[in-house]
Amino acid sequence: MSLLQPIALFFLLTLPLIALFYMLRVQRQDVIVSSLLLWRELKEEASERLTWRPPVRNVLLILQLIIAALLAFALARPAMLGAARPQKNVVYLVDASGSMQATDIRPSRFAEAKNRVRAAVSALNTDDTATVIRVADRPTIMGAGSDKQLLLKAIDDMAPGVGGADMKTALTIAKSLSRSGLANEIEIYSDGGITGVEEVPEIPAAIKFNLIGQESFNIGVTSVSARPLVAGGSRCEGFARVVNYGDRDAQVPLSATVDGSPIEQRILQLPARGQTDLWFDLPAGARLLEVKINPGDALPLDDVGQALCPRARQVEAMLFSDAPSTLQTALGLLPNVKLATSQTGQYTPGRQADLYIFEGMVPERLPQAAGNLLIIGPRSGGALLNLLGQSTGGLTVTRTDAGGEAASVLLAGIDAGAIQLGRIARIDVPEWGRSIADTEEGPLVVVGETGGRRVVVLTFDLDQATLPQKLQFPLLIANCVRWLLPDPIPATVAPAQALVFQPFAGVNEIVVERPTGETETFATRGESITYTRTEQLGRYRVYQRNGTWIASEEQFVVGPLPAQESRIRPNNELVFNTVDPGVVGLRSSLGQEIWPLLALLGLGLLGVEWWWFYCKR
Amino acid sequence: MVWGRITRRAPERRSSAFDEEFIRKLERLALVTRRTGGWLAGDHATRRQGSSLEFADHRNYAQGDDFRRVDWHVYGRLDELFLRLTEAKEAVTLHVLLDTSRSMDWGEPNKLGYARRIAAALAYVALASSDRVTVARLGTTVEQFMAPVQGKAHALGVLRFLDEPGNAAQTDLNAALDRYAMSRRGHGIAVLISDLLSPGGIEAGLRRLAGRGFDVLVLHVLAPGELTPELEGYLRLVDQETGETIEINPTGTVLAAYRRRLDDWLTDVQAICRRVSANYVQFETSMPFEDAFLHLLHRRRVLA
Repeated sequence: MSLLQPIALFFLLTLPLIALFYMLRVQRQDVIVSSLLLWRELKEEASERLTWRPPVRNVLLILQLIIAALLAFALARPAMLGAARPQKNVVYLVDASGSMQATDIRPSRFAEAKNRVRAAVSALNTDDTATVIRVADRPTIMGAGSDKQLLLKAIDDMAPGVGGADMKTALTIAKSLSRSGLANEIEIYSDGGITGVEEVPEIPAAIKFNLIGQESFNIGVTSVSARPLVAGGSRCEGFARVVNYGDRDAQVPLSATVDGSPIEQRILQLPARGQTDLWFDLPAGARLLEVKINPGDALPLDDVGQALCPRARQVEAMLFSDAPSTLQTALGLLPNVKLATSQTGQYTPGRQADLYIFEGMVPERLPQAAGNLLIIGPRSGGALLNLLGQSTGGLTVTRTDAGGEAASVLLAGIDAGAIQLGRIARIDVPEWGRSIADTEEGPLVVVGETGGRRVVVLTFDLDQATLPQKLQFPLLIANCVRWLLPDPIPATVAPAQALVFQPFAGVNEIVVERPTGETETFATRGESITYTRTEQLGRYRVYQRNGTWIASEEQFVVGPLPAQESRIRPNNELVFNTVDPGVVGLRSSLGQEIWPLLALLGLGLLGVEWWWFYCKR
Repeated sequence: MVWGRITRRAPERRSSAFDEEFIRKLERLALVTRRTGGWLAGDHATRRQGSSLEFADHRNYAQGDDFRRVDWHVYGRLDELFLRLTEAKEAVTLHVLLDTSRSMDWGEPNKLGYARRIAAALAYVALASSDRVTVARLGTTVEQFMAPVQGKAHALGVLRFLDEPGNAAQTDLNAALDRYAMSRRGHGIAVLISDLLSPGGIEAGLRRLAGRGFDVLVLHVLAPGELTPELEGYLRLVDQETGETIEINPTGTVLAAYRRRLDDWLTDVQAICRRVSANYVQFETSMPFEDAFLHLLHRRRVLA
């Protein structure tokens, strides 16, 4: 046994103090006699002015001394020494993939894994350490150290996922901990539906694999999709795949709905380890296709699949040019751009469009609508620019700045060195913008945001530059349109896949509504938002807004469960590449602290003392 | 009422000290007493004329005497008229004076309970012998008393009176005996049953009682805890009557001194009794009650 806080034995000094106090304080017991007639005359010789008495045998004194000794000893934190053994530094890898939500082990495989890890952590000695890693598509360290309470809370905070389990990366993390001496044991809690573990070489730790799972029978909807029948058309066709992973044939009820309305109900005949592909003609205007089965198996998570019919986002563009052919050709190559053309003299601020293209002019009054602006070869400053004049010809691009999102989009695929320019408009770079390409006589490409709209200014004159004759010109125009009008969100997203939301001009908030109805709000001043919380299967809605003005409303679906997660057959035949970690110094491990026992004993004796003093008297 | 079958009643306040077994004991004691000639040393005889059948003497007939008392057998022999004289029996009153102060309600066995039994036995035996019995409870004065009764029919009432709890807080036997003596005529036997732990002493009261013509008998009841106290440790003795306390450390020396003091006190008490011509008998409550009563009977015969 060892004392963790030996200095607490200082409190044993209270024992002689208690005895001294007892000796100085005479306690007399009351005894009732019939009469003091005979005792009174003995009073003088019977009484004694006691200033002290030797601590005679007294039950209360003995009890109090024992209690004080027990408490002093408990404060010194005695601990039973365990057998000499290496200190345990364990890494617990908990599979949080979708298959771990199977309910063949009640309440679920994942809950069972947590329970086992919790028990393992509770059994660790005081000086052992542990690291708990949740292994999903992205492994996450939930907690580390020797504080059991923190580790147990970290385990409780773990939630299952709907994606895969990147056990290879998790093992790599554990391996690095082992190499740095922070881990000598690795325990994996999984159903074995993991791959790539054999690719992690030379793990210097003992690996213990805890298989969780019994059932292998499962039928799941492994794929659901919808695509336009005709490119750009409004009618879609749907597709679904149902797979039987079991060893026996099965009949499975299936229902398909479009926007909540049933379109098909039937009984699927599935052979053992077979699959069935289904096609659905979706009505015009259909948005959400949902396919649901009811096989009554251990994994209900893959019994539903959803898909959204993609909608091409049509861009309304207004071109104001006196010689529009070049731009018409470039813009006509973009499938989602609906172009209307007018002479520059016919411009009015009231014309509605998502994108305004001005060639050779900058209007004095900008459009009333919040559409973005593409200005090419301005011959006047108008309401936006400070025009300094026109340059001479023979210019080249002297500098490009590819830093930042705008530059990376606008200059993607552009060989600036190949551009030969004629006359350009010389402008001051406005406060709202910055130049991402310069010539000898000033900026060539200026980008920025002003008045709630994005603006791109190409200062070169189309007639004077060689660019329009090159293939790079349509690319440049497409890049401009892409930056001025962000890409739509994909209709279907895999579980745990990250998304990037590009805000429209004038948007300061992006709101995401999850399948459960919970909403999340992200503030933006034009920068993109990376969204990673796609661990729930189902339909998400994304709103871009500024106050009450809704700039856009889009949807996407997360799912279905990855096919490999529907395969819930437990797998115990994994190969790990371990190496001998080498000689590890042995030291006695501190086992169980026994102060609670001592404190309980002291409390019991306190009760005995109370009983002796009050009841027995 | 038929003796030997007692009608039981539910206890009103507390369990009675006098149960059926005790009553049977009293019957046996009464029988023994009568066979031995009565505990009061025989019936008191008087030469006064009485109407009993016991022949006492003859005397010459005088004019006016009752002709029915003429002894005609003597006339037949002597041709002279003589009156036949008989002995007149005088009923004795037994005064049972029971100390019911709080000092009596102490001890293991309890002195008051023991004293009640002694008093009950005395009263019962006397009533069985056709003597009159009166009972009084003493404290600092005569706390309560009952009118004299005669005959066994009143035995239950006497027992009931003795069974009632006393309410005397403290003891002043001198005052109590003095009061009792002055309120009664001096006939009979006064039996004082007490622990005699009266701070003012007992001599004046006993002297008054004897002076009033009572034949005084003192039954001194003490508990074993008073005769040989078993005390140890650092104690605070509390007087049960007054609440007064003293602190003592009952070492062997102190206890030996107490026993000496006790012996001296007992000697003084006996001397007082002799001075006032009172009989003295000491009882320890550990002695079985029947043995105690027979011992009393024996002592009484010796003294008589």
